[in-house]
Amino acid sequence: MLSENNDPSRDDSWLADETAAAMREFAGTVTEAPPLRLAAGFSSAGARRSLLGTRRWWTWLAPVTAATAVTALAVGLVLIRSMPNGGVVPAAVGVVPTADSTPATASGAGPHGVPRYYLAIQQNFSKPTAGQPPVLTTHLVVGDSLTAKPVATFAPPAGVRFLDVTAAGDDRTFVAAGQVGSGASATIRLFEVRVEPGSSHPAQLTAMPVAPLLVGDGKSVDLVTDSFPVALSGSGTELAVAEFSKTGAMAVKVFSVATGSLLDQWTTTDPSLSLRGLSEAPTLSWIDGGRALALATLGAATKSGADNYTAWQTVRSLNVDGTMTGDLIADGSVLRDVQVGGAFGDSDACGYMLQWPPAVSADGKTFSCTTGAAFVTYPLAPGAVGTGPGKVDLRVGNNEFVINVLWANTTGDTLIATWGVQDSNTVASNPNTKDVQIDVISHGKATPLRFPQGFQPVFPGGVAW
Amino acid sequence: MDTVDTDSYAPGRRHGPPGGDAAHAVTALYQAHALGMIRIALLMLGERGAAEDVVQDAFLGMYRRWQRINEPQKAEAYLRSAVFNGCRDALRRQSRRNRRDWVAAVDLGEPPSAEAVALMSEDRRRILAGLRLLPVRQREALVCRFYLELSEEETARVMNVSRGTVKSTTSRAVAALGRMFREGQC
Repeated sequence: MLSENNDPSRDDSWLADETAAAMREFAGTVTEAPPLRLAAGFSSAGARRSLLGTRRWWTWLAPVTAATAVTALAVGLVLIRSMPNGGVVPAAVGVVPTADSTPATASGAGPHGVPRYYLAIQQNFSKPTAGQPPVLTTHLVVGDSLTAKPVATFAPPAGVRFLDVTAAGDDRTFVAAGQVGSGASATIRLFEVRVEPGSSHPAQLTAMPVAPLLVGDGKSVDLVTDSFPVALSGSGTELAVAEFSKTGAMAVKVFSVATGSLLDQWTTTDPSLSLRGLSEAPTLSWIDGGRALALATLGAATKSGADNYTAWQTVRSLNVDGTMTGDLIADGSVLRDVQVGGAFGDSDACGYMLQWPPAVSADGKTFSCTTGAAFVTYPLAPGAVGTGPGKVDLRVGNNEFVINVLWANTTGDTLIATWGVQDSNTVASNPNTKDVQIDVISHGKATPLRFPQGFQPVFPGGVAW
Repeated sequence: MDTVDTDSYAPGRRHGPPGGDAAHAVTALYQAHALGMIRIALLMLGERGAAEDVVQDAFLGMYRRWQRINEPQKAEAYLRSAVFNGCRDALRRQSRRNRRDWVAAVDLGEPPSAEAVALMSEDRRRILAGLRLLPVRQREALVCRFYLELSEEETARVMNVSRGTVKSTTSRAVAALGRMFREGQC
């Protein structure tokens, strides 16, 4: 119900009094303080707990997730679309039989040499009504970076909330991971998106023939409900995922996109790679011409001193050789193992909090991330800590920025990144243009990419080129 | 009213573990100021648990640095600065966690502590919801000016900006609140 104060003719001056009164009334709800704790070594565990373990969402977010889950229904095998050309798309799975060495921009390259087509997750919240939490829904957008126009939009299958997307090197094949259900019953379903420009159906989405995947123990679900790591091989024929069992242990699996059959898997019960041993979701990248995977993990933070925290940033390579099973720790080769950290909010950690996840180049030689206001590329070698070329500082004014690397080219010298001004509990898009700000970072320059009108900000894993 | 540099260092003072005097002094300060500080943090963060955490951190920081604080008589100002700094850090971390929900942050008008505001008038509930959508510095300005009733000069010291910036920030904040209110965004 709208208030009479919505009357635009009213002067804003009444707001000063009402704001003061509202703040006094709200502040007055606190009538006592908890006991002071000055025990040696004490740190405000509460303030850190959301960082070290579970994430503290605003209280309305939990009901949002719950509401989404309640409405979850079984996922149909056929999908979905609201494509410009309309029409029902058959559920056939298209596989592009190109070699793993397919260059990143196989055809119709986009601006600045980046792939032309992208797949992005867009979010929508229903307007909250009195006493009712808003309901989160997601949909997919296939876009053309060259024309800035959308190619297709896909509504989600019933009950699915899209979490992560990934792209093959052919600029035509994508996969989206979506969560169904919540808590202990939550599972992940996979969907393939094929882009066929100029055809009567410029894009189609089909459910992949992969059995529902696990998303953890149903308790420590924040990590995986935020993200489900997926990586499509350059050829688009294999899909790697990082799955967490009901006990929180990690498994990296490789599936055939065409058949859904399991081709390779590595498991571990190492606590540092369990849900509770990680502070952020791991990421997967295909390297070495599609013959290996790079698994990047960021361990749970360890307190160091009064206000400083450190965590181990590790990249392991796993040879994809079809042996079907293996131990993730024993079989993996460590490419990078660096302790990162500093005070929370520091901008020099390159891999902590605001800076995760990184982008591993397909040649397996570089590791690119953000320092919060700049980009740094590291050589991917054990113990390497020196900064490499390609540092670009996007800081403007005195605003705080949040920057994320979204994509790296084969050699890591060209990145796509998003950035925005951090305003209280959100990250705004470019405050000057009010547009989503996603730039190509190359040779020390940042060049904005264009997106359709109404395109929302995207997060790492929420867009793929 | 003055603020104290939270990193201030007094070369002539002893630098060692805080002792019983510090504990007594900080405990006394806590009894005198904790409630007020929690209320400030609540207005900044919108969640009581997080507000209490920030305030605990502020007092703990004071305790640890007690022997390095130049002017203990400015403890209240020190604490207030520490609380605002702590709130900024908490919001920064919150931003990281919520970045997947940018749309929500833009569209949502429901303050998180729904129970606490259940009995408020519709207008005030909406104002609090709008407050949560303001940039953190604008929120700080409103808390200082309208809740703490600090002067522009005092607010400038707390926020470590010029008086003119306080004026413009406050003005923008009120304008933004009014716009959100009229457009039904909060």
